[in-house]
Amino acid sequence: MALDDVSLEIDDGEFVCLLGPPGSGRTTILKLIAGLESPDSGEILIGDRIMNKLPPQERGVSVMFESLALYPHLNVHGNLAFPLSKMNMSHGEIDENVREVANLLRIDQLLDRRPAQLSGGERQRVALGRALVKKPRVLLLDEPLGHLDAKLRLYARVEIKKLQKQLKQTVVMSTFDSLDAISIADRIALMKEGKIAQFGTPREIYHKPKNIFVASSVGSPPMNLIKCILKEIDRHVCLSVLGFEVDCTKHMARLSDRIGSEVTLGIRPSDVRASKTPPGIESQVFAVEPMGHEKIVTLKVNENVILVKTSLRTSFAPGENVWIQPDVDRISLFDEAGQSIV
Amino acid sequence: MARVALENVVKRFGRTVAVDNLNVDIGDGELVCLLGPSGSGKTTTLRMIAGLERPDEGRIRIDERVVNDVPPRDRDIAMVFQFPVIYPGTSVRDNLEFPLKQRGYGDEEIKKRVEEIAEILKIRPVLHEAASDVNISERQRVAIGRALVRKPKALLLDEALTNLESGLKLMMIAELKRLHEELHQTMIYVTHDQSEALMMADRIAVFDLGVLQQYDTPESLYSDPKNLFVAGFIGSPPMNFLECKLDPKRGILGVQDFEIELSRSRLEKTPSSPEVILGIRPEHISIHKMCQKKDHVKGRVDMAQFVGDHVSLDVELDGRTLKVLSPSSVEFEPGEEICMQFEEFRLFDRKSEQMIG
Repeated sequence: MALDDVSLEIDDGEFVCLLGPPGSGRTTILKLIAGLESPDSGEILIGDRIMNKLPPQERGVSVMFESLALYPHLNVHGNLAFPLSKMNMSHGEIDENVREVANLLRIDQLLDRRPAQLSGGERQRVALGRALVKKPRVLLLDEPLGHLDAKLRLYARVEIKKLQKQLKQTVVMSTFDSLDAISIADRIALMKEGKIAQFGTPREIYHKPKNIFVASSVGSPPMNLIKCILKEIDRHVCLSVLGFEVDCTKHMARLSDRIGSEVTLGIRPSDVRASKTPPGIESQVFAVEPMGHEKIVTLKVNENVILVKTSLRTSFAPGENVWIQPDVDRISLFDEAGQSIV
Repeated sequence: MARVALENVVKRFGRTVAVDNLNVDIGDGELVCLLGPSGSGKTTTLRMIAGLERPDEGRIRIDERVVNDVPPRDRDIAMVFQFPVIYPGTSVRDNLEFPLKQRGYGDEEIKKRVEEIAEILKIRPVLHEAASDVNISERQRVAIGRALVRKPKALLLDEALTNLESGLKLMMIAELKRLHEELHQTMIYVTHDQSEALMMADRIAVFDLGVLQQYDTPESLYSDPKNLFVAGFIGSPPMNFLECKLDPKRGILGVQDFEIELSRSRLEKTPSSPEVILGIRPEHISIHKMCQKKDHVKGRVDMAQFVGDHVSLDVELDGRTLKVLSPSSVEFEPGEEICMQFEEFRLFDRKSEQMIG
C-alpha cells in the first residue's frame, strides 16, 4: 500500500514539505495532486473543487522534477514558452509572460542560451520558471534541490522560499533532506510507510516530536535516544539514565503514573551539557569533530553512544572522562510503543 | 606507515599549470585532507603521490626516498575511490585476500591479516557473503579493508565518502577517524566538501587554482584564515564580506553609515589602502531587537529560516545581504528592523586579499 488513509489540508499560499525516506509515499502524494495517479479511495480538492476525475492539464498544477527535464534543443526562451504554447495565447502574450517570469528569476540575460551553456543554479531557475510561467494555483516540487552541492543548496533554499512568499504561491515540495524541509517549509508532513507521522511547523517537529520516528528524522547529528527507567526518589520523579538520576519533577503531571516503567529519553546533541567534573553520566570521549564554530563530541557509556555539541572553546580529548547532563527543560520522553509522553 | 613530502612540485597539462610550486609535508600517522573546488589541483596532487601522474618539477618523497621515478606498484601506497570497486562474483573474504595473494604472502599470514582487518572494520559477520550483496557502507569498508590489509605506507582516499547520504557519511567519518587512531595509519583524503575535511583531518591543505592557499589545523583555518579565499571557503554558511573604510588615527572602522571602534593592536599588518574588507562569520553576529550601543549596525530581516539549533537569517544592510546564525529561541519576522553587533571579525587587504587583522 503506497498511501494509507492520508488526510492533509494545505492552506492557500502555504509552503508544505513532504519529508520522508524513499518509498514513504511523498512522491505518490505529489502525483495524486498533479493527476498523474488516481486515488483508490478518498478525495482530492483544490480550492473547493474535487479533482479526482479531472485530467492533469485542467487542474492548474505545475510540477518541477529533480531531473529538471529541460529541452536541450530549445534555448531558455523556448523552454519557458513551451508550457504556454498549448494555451490559447498570441506570440506577444507568450513573450510577455516569458519575460515577466525571466525577470522574476533573474534569468532575463540568459534567454538566448541553451541549457548546456548554463550553470547548475541557472538551470535550476529555468526549470522553476517553466513551472511558474503558467501561474499555477499549486506548484509541486519533486526533490528540486537533490542534485545541488552543499553551498548552492544553501542559496537555492533561500531563493525558493523568497519567491514563494513574494508570489504567495501555494507550494508542495517533496524531499528526503530534513534540513531542506525545516528551513523552507511553513509546515512539514513527515511521512513513514504511506502514513503521515506528524504534520506541523518546523519548530513543532523539531522540539515536540510525536514519536521516536519523528525525533530521529530531523536534526543533524540526530537526537540521542537512550533507554531509561522512571523512579521515585524522596517524592521526586527521577529518570535513571545510565546510572545517573535526573530530576524530572517538573514533568511530574505526565509521569507520576509511569513510575517503574521503561521509557526512552530523547535529547538533542546541543541540549546536553558536558563537564570535566561530576555530577552527571560518566562517559568516555571517543571522537571529537570540529564543525566550524562548534564541535561534535562522540561519547561512549559502555555500549551506548551519545553525541554532544559543544563550543569550539572546550578541549575534550579522546579517552578522557567526561560527565554529562541533559537539559531537563529540553528532554523528550517516549513510551515503550515509541509515542511521546513529554 | 610513513611520512609523505612534496617539495617545490609543479605539474602542467599543456599550458595549464595544474599544481604550482607545491610544498606539503605530511607527518607519519597523520590524517591530511586536500581540500578545494574542482580544478584546484587537489586530485592531481593525490595522483602524483600515488604515481599516476609524474611531476614536471620538484620532488615527492615517501619517508626519505624520492619516488618521482618509482612506478605506482612499488610505492607501497593504497588508494580508495569514490565508487568502491568490488571484484564481481567474489566473496568479501576473497576481496580482502586478493592483494596479499598477489604479493605472495603465505596462507597463515593471509588468514591472520584478513581476520584482523575484518575485525577492525566490523565486517567479520559478512566475510563469507558475496561482495555484491553487502550494503553500501559495508562495501565501502571492504574497499578500505582491501587497501589496508597489506599495511601500506599511506592510504589515499579520493572523495571516498562523498556519495554516501548524510547520516551514513557522519558514521563513516567517525569510523575512519577511529581506524586512523587505532592503526596510526598515514591517510590522505581528497574532498571538495569543507565540512567533511573539518570533521576528519588533523591538518587541511586548501587549494585554489593550483596553488596551496593554507596548510593548517581545522581550528586555525576557521579562526585565522590567511586570505579571502580560505575565509570564504571554510564554514557554512560562508563568511560575510563587507567593504569598509579604515580610519587608523581614530581607530574607527566605517561600515556603511556605521562606525565600529577598533583597538590599535587589532591590525597585524598595515593595509595598502584604507579601503579594507571586513570578514565576519554568520555565527559571530549577535542580533538585538533594540539598538543600545553606538557600534550597533542596523539592518532589516529579509528572510528567517529555522535550521534546528539556530535560525539562519538574511539581513539586509544598504542593499547588501548578510547571513546571520542566531539562537533559535528568538523568532524573527521578515521586514523586522534589528541591530547587529559584530562580535568577532577579520580584516583583509583589498588588493592582496591577505588577512591583515
